[in-house]
Amino acid sequence: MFTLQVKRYGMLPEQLAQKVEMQFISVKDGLQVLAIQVRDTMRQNVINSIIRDGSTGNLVRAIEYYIEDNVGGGRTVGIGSIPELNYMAPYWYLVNYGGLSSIAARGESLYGYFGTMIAHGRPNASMRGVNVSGAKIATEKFTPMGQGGYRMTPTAPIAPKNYIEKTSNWLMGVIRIHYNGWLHRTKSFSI
Amino acid sequence: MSYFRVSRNVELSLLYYIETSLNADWTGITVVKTFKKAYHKDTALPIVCIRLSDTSAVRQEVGSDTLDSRYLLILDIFSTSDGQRLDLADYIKDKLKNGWIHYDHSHASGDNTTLTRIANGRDMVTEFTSDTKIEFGENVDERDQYRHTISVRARHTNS
Repeated sequence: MFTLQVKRYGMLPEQLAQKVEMQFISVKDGLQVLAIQVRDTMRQNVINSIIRDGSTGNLVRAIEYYIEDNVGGGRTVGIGSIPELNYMAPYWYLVNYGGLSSIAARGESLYGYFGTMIAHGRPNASMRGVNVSGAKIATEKFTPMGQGGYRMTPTAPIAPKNYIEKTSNWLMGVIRIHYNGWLHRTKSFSI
Repeated sequence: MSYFRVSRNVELSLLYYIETSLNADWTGITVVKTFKKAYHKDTALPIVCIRLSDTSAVRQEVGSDTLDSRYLLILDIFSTSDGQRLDLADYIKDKLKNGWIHYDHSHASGDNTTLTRIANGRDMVTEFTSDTKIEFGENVDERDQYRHTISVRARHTNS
Protein backbone atom coordinates (compact mmCIF):
# COMPACT_ATOMS: atom_id res chain seq x y z
CA MET A 1 0.00 0.00 0.00
CA PHE A 2 1.31 3.40 -0.93
CA THR A 3 0.76 6.64 0.89
CA LEU A 4 0.32 9.49 -1.53
CA GLN A 5 1.16 12.89 -0.22
CA VAL A 6 0.27 15.95 -2.25
CA LYS A 7 2.08 19.18 -1.47
CA ARG A 8 1.23 22.50 -3.01
CA TYR A 9 4.00 24.96 -3.78
CA GLY A 10 3.67 28.55 -4.85
CA MET A 11 0.59 30.69 -4.84
CA LEU A 12 -3.05 29.90 -5.10
CA PRO A 13 -4.58 30.91 -8.43
CA GLU A 14 -6.48 33.63 -6.57
CA GLN A 15 -3.23 34.95 -5.08
CA LEU A 16 -1.54 34.90 -8.47
CA ALA A 17 -4.44 36.81 -10.01
CA GLN A 18 -4.23 39.37 -7.19
CA LYS A 19 -0.49 39.80 -7.71
CA VAL A 20 -0.89 40.25 -11.46
CA GLU A 21 -3.61 42.81 -10.84
CA MET A 22 -1.38 44.72 -8.40
CA GLN A 23 1.47 44.78 -10.91
CA PHE A 24 -0.90 45.94 -13.61
CA ILE A 25 -2.06 48.82 -11.42
CA SER A 26 1.58 49.63 -10.76
CA VAL A 27 2.29 49.69 -14.50
CA LYS A 28 -0.74 51.94 -15.07
CA ASP A 29 0.47 54.37 -12.41
CA GLY A 30 3.98 54.28 -13.87
CA LEU A 31 2.57 55.12 -17.28
CA GLN A 32 0.72 58.11 -15.87
CA VAL A 33 3.88 59.39 -14.18
CA LEU A 34 5.73 58.96 -17.48
CA ALA A 35 2.96 60.85 -19.31
CA ILE A 36 3.30 63.78 -16.92
CA GLN A 37 7.07 63.78 -17.40
CA VAL A 38 6.73 63.71 -21.19
CA ARG A 39 4.24 66.58 -21.10
CA ASP A 40 6.52 68.65 -18.88
CA THR A 41 9.56 67.90 -21.06
CA MET A 42 7.71 68.96 -24.19
CA ARG A 43 6.49 72.14 -22.50
CA GLN A 44 10.04 72.86 -21.38
CA ASN A 45 11.34 72.30 -24.91
CA VAL A 46 8.88 74.92 -26.14
CA ILE A 47 9.87 77.34 -23.37
CA ASN A 48 13.56 76.83 -24.15
CA SER A 49 12.96 77.81 -27.76
CA ILE A 50 11.32 81.18 -26.98
CA ILE A 51 13.53 83.87 -28.45
CA ARG A 52 11.95 87.13 -27.37
CA ASP A 53 9.68 88.53 -24.75
CA GLY A 54 5.92 88.67 -25.08
CA SER A 55 5.02 84.99 -25.46
CA THR A 56 1.35 84.28 -24.78
CA GLY A 57 2.13 80.82 -23.39
CA ASN A 58 -0.79 79.37 -25.36
CA LEU A 59 1.27 76.59 -26.95
CA VAL A 60 2.73 75.52 -23.63
CA ARG A 61 -0.73 75.40 -22.05
CA ALA A 62 -2.18 73.50 -25.01
CA ILE A 63 0.27 70.64 -24.54
CA GLU A 64 -1.48 68.17 -22.26
CA TYR A 65 -1.49 64.44 -21.76
CA TYR A 66 -4.42 62.11 -22.33
CA ILE A 67 -4.91 58.58 -21.07
CA GLU A 68 -7.40 56.14 -22.49
CA ASP A 69 -8.24 52.71 -21.16
CA ASN A 70 -8.60 50.34 -24.05
CA VAL A 71 -11.05 47.50 -24.38
CA GLY A 72 -9.24 44.42 -23.11
CA GLY A 73 -7.25 46.18 -20.41
CA GLY A 74 -4.56 48.07 -22.28
CA ARG A 75 -3.92 51.73 -21.77
CA THR A 76 -2.91 54.34 -24.33
CA VAL A 77 -1.19 57.59 -23.49
CA GLY A 78 -1.07 60.52 -25.88
CA ILE A 79 0.63 63.88 -25.59
CA GLY A 80 -1.07 66.79 -27.29
CA SER A 81 -4.50 66.85 -28.89
CA ILE A 82 -4.37 68.18 -32.46
CA PRO A 83 -7.86 69.82 -32.31
CA GLU A 84 -6.92 71.52 -29.05
CA LEU A 85 -3.56 72.66 -30.44
CA ASN A 86 -5.25 73.95 -33.60
CA TYR A 87 -7.68 75.92 -31.46
CA MET A 88 -5.34 77.29 -28.80
CA ALA A 89 -2.08 77.62 -30.72
CA PRO A 90 -2.66 77.14 -34.46
CA TYR A 91 1.01 77.98 -35.10
CA TRP A 92 2.16 74.82 -33.28
CA TYR A 93 2.88 73.04 -36.57
CA LEU A 94 4.87 75.93 -38.07
CA VAL A 95 6.86 76.39 -34.87
CA ASN A 96 7.79 72.71 -34.78
CA TYR A 97 8.68 72.18 -38.43
CA GLY A 98 9.69 75.72 -39.38
CA GLY A 99 8.95 77.53 -42.63
CA LEU A 100 7.59 80.76 -43.93
CA SER A 101 4.44 82.03 -42.25
CA SER A 102 1.49 82.60 -44.55
CA ILE A 103 1.96 86.36 -44.05
CA ALA A 104 5.60 86.12 -45.14
CA ALA A 105 4.74 83.85 -48.07
CA ARG A 106 2.26 86.45 -49.36
CA GLY A 107 4.72 89.30 -48.74
CA GLU A 108 2.26 91.06 -46.47
CA SER A 109 2.89 92.88 -43.23
CA LEU A 110 1.29 92.77 -39.84
CA TYR A 111 1.35 94.65 -36.59
CA GLY A 112 3.94 93.28 -34.25
CA TYR A 113 4.27 93.63 -30.54
CA PHE A 114 7.66 94.56 -29.15
CA GLY A 115 7.73 94.17 -25.44
CA THR A 116 10.48 95.27 -23.17
CA MET A 117 12.90 92.75 -21.74
CA ILE A 118 11.55 93.66 -18.30
CA ALA A 119 8.81 91.31 -17.12
CA HIS A 120 5.34 92.84 -17.57
CA GLY A 121 6.92 95.87 -19.19
CA ARG A 122 4.98 98.04 -21.58
CA PRO A 123 5.68 97.95 -25.33
CA ASN A 124 8.81 99.85 -26.09
CA ALA A 125 9.25 101.50 -29.47
CA SER A 126 13.01 101.34 -29.23
CA MET A 127 12.77 97.52 -29.09
CA ARG A 128 11.19 97.21 -32.52
CA GLY A 129 13.06 94.80 -34.70
CA VAL A 130 15.15 93.48 -31.83
CA ASN A 131 15.66 89.72 -32.18
CA VAL A 132 13.34 89.57 -35.16
CA SER A 133 15.62 87.86 -37.62
CA GLY A 134 15.30 89.18 -41.13
CA ALA A 135 12.19 91.24 -40.46
CA LYS A 136 11.81 94.64 -42.01
CA ILE A 137 10.34 97.05 -39.55
CA ALA A 138 8.46 100.13 -40.63
CA THR A 139 8.04 103.12 -38.39
CA GLU A 140 4.31 103.51 -38.76
CA LYS A 141 2.79 103.32 -35.32
CA PHE A 142 -0.39 101.37 -34.75
CA THR A 143 -2.28 101.86 -31.53
CA PRO A 144 -5.45 99.79 -31.30
CA MET A 145 -7.01 100.24 -27.88
CA GLY A 146 -3.96 102.06 -26.63
CA GLN A 147 -1.61 99.17 -27.25
CA GLY A 148 1.67 100.02 -28.88
CA GLY A 149 2.54 98.17 -32.02
CA TYR A 150 4.56 98.55 -35.19
CA ARG A 151 3.99 97.25 -38.65
CA MET A 152 6.47 94.60 -39.67
CA THR A 153 7.02 92.61 -42.85
CA PRO A 154 8.48 89.22 -42.05
CA THR A 155 10.78 87.82 -44.72
CA ALA A 156 12.82 85.23 -42.83
CA PRO A 157 11.51 81.72 -42.19
CA ILE A 158 10.49 80.57 -38.75
CA ALA A 159 13.37 78.38 -37.59
CA PRO A 160 12.18 74.87 -36.71
CA LYS A 161 12.11 74.27 -32.97
CA ASN A 162 11.41 70.54 -33.32
CA TYR A 163 10.02 70.33 -29.80
CA ILE A 164 8.13 67.16 -30.75
CA GLU A 165 11.23 65.38 -32.07
CA LYS A 166 13.32 66.55 -29.10
CA THR A 167 10.73 65.18 -26.70
CA SER A 168 10.65 61.92 -28.62
CA ASN A 169 14.44 61.75 -28.39
CA TRP A 170 14.26 62.27 -24.62
CA LEU A 171 11.49 59.68 -24.25
CA MET A 172 13.43 57.05 -26.15
CA GLY A 173 16.36 57.59 -23.81
CA VAL A 174 14.09 57.13 -20.80
CA ILE A 175 12.52 54.00 -22.27
CA ARG A 176 15.96 52.62 -22.98
CA ILE A 177 16.98 53.00 -19.36
CA HIS A 178 13.85 52.36 -17.31
CA TYR A 179 10.96 51.00 -19.27
CA ASN A 180 12.35 48.72 -21.95
CA GLY A 181 10.55 45.44 -21.86
CA TRP A 182 7.18 45.96 -20.27
CA LEU A 183 6.35 49.10 -22.17
CA HIS A 184 6.92 47.48 -25.53
CA ARG A 185 5.08 44.33 -24.50
CA THR A 186 1.98 45.76 -22.99
CA LYS A 187 1.40 49.40 -23.75
CA SER A 188 1.44 51.96 -26.46
CA PHE A 189 2.63 55.52 -26.22
CA SER A 190 2.12 58.17 -28.84
CA ILE A 191 3.24 61.76 -29.26
CA MET B 1 44.96 73.07 -35.90
CA SER B 2 41.40 73.27 -34.62
CA TYR B 3 39.67 69.93 -34.05
CA PHE B 4 35.92 69.52 -33.98
CA ARG B 5 34.17 67.60 -31.20
CA VAL B 6 32.03 64.50 -31.72
CA SER B 7 28.61 66.16 -32.10
CA ARG B 8 29.84 68.47 -34.81
CA ASN B 9 31.62 65.59 -36.51
CA VAL B 10 28.44 63.48 -36.49
CA GLU B 11 26.53 66.28 -38.20
CA LEU B 12 29.24 67.03 -40.77
CA SER B 13 29.86 63.35 -41.51
CA LEU B 14 26.18 62.81 -42.35
CA LEU B 15 26.12 65.97 -44.44
CA TYR B 16 29.19 64.82 -46.37
CA TYR B 17 27.78 61.32 -46.84
CA ILE B 18 24.38 62.48 -48.13
CA GLU B 19 25.90 65.18 -50.31
CA THR B 20 28.35 62.72 -51.89
CA SER B 21 25.62 60.13 -52.44
CA LEU B 22 23.20 62.64 -53.98
CA ASN B 23 25.90 64.04 -56.25
CA ALA B 24 26.61 60.51 -57.48
CA ASP B 25 23.03 59.38 -58.03
CA TRP B 26 20.99 62.55 -58.60
CA THR B 27 21.41 65.83 -60.43
CA GLY B 28 20.95 69.33 -59.09
CA ILE B 29 20.17 68.60 -55.45
CA THR B 30 21.50 71.23 -53.05
CA VAL B 31 22.55 70.07 -49.60
CA VAL B 32 22.69 72.71 -46.86
CA LYS B 33 23.22 72.71 -43.10
CA THR B 34 21.03 75.58 -41.99
CA PHE B 35 17.40 76.45 -42.43
CA LYS B 36 18.31 80.01 -43.29
CA LYS B 37 20.34 78.80 -46.27
CA ALA B 38 17.49 76.55 -47.40
CA TYR B 39 15.25 79.63 -47.65
CA HIS B 40 17.86 81.87 -49.22
CA LYS B 41 16.68 83.14 -52.59
CA ASP B 42 19.92 82.01 -54.24
CA THR B 43 19.47 78.39 -53.15
CA ALA B 44 17.60 76.52 -55.84
CA LEU B 45 15.14 73.69 -55.23
CA PRO B 46 15.33 70.77 -54.58
CA ILE B 47 17.12 71.16 -51.28
CA VAL B 48 18.07 68.78 -48.49
CA CYS B 49 18.77 70.46 -45.15
CA ILE B 50 20.67 68.33 -42.62
CA ARG B 51 21.18 69.33 -39.01
CA LEU B 52 21.86 67.94 -35.59
CA SER B 53 18.91 69.00 -33.48
CA ASP B 54 19.44 67.41 -30.09
CA THR B 55 21.62 65.00 -28.14
CA SER B 56 20.71 62.72 -25.26
CA ALA B 57 23.28 60.81 -23.27
CA VAL B 58 23.28 58.16 -20.56
CA ARG B 59 26.15 56.50 -18.73
CA GLN B 60 27.33 53.43 -20.56
CA GLU B 61 27.13 51.36 -17.38
CA VAL B 62 26.96 51.86 -13.64
CA GLY B 63 30.06 53.70 -12.46
CA SER B 64 31.31 54.40 -15.96
CA ASP B 65 32.47 57.85 -16.95
CA THR B 66 31.81 57.03 -20.61
CA LEU B 67 28.62 58.46 -22.05
CA ASP B 68 26.51 56.57 -24.54
CA SER B 69 25.05 59.37 -26.65
CA ARG B 70 22.25 59.44 -29.17
CA TYR B 71 22.21 62.18 -31.76
CA LEU B 72 18.89 63.41 -33.13
CA LEU B 73 19.52 64.20 -36.78
CA ILE B 74 16.84 65.89 -38.85
CA LEU B 75 16.75 65.90 -42.64
CA ASP B 76 14.32 68.34 -44.25
CA ILE B 77 13.54 67.81 -47.91
CA PHE B 78 12.28 70.70 -50.04
CA SER B 79 11.13 69.31 -53.38
CA THR B 80 9.64 70.60 -56.58
CA SER B 81 6.90 67.96 -56.77
CA ASP B 82 5.17 65.40 -54.61
CA GLY B 83 6.70 62.52 -56.55
CA GLN B 84 10.20 63.91 -56.15
CA ARG B 85 9.54 64.37 -52.43
CA LEU B 86 8.70 60.68 -52.04
CA ASP B 87 11.59 59.51 -54.20
CA LEU B 88 14.11 61.63 -52.34
CA ALA B 89 12.75 60.52 -48.96
CA ASP B 90 12.98 56.84 -49.94
CA TYR B 91 16.47 57.29 -51.33
CA ILE B 92 17.72 59.03 -48.20
CA LYS B 93 16.19 56.41 -45.90
CA ASP B 94 17.84 53.72 -47.96
CA LYS B 95 21.19 55.46 -47.55
CA LEU B 96 20.74 56.01 -43.83
CA LYS B 97 19.83 52.48 -42.84
CA ASN B 98 23.35 51.07 -43.19
CA GLY B 99 25.10 53.92 -41.44
CA TRP B 100 27.99 56.02 -42.73
CA ILE B 101 31.67 56.68 -42.13
CA HIS B 102 32.35 59.02 -39.23
CA TYR B 103 35.04 61.60 -39.92
CA ASP B 104 36.97 63.67 -37.44
CA HIS B 105 37.09 67.16 -38.91
CA SER B 106 39.70 69.80 -38.38
CA HIS B 107 40.97 72.93 -40.02
CA ALA B 108 44.13 74.99 -39.91
CA SER B 109 44.05 77.83 -37.41
CA GLY B 110 42.67 80.92 -39.04
CA ASP B 111 41.35 79.06 -42.08
CA ASN B 112 37.91 77.59 -41.51
CA THR B 113 37.11 77.29 -45.20
CA THR B 114 39.10 74.10 -45.81
CA LEU B 115 38.20 71.09 -43.69
CA THR B 116 40.40 68.05 -43.25
CA ARG B 117 38.65 64.70 -42.72
CA ILE B 118 40.07 61.60 -41.08
CA ALA B 119 37.86 58.50 -40.87
CA ASN B 120 37.19 57.36 -37.32
CA GLY B 121 34.56 54.61 -37.02
CA ARG B 122 30.96 54.69 -38.13
CA ASP B 123 27.71 56.39 -37.25
CA MET B 124 24.73 54.08 -37.11
CA VAL B 125 21.01 54.83 -37.05
CA THR B 126 19.41 53.24 -34.00
CA GLU B 127 15.86 54.48 -34.61
CA PHE B 128 13.94 56.16 -37.38
CA THR B 129 11.75 58.48 -35.33
CA SER B 130 9.79 60.28 -38.03
CA ASP B 131 9.31 60.14 -41.77
CA THR B 132 6.47 62.38 -42.77
CA LYS B 133 5.15 64.95 -45.20
CA ILE B 134 5.00 68.52 -43.93
CA GLU B 135 1.68 70.00 -44.96
CA PHE B 136 1.08 73.71 -44.74
CA GLY B 137 -1.93 73.68 -47.03
CA GLU B 138 -2.32 75.64 -50.24
CA ASN B 139 -1.07 79.08 -51.25
CA VAL B 140 2.25 78.70 -49.47
CA ASP B 141 5.77 79.56 -50.49
CA GLU B 142 7.23 77.21 -53.14
CA ARG B 143 9.73 75.89 -50.57
CA ASP B 144 6.93 74.86 -48.23
CA GLN B 145 4.78 73.26 -50.90
CA TYR B 146 6.42 69.82 -51.14
CA ARG B 147 8.24 69.32 -47.91
CA HIS B 148 9.20 66.16 -46.09
CA THR B 149 11.03 65.51 -42.86
CA ILE B 150 13.01 62.49 -41.70
CA SER B 151 14.44 62.32 -38.21
CA VAL B 152 16.71 59.61 -36.90
CA ARG B 153 18.57 58.80 -33.73
CA ALA B 154 22.13 57.78 -34.37
CA ARG B 155 25.11 56.68 -32.36
CA HIS B 156 28.81 56.94 -33.01
CA THR B 157 31.09 53.91 -32.72
CA ASN B 158 34.85 54.22 -32.71
CA SER B 159 36.94 52.06 -34.99
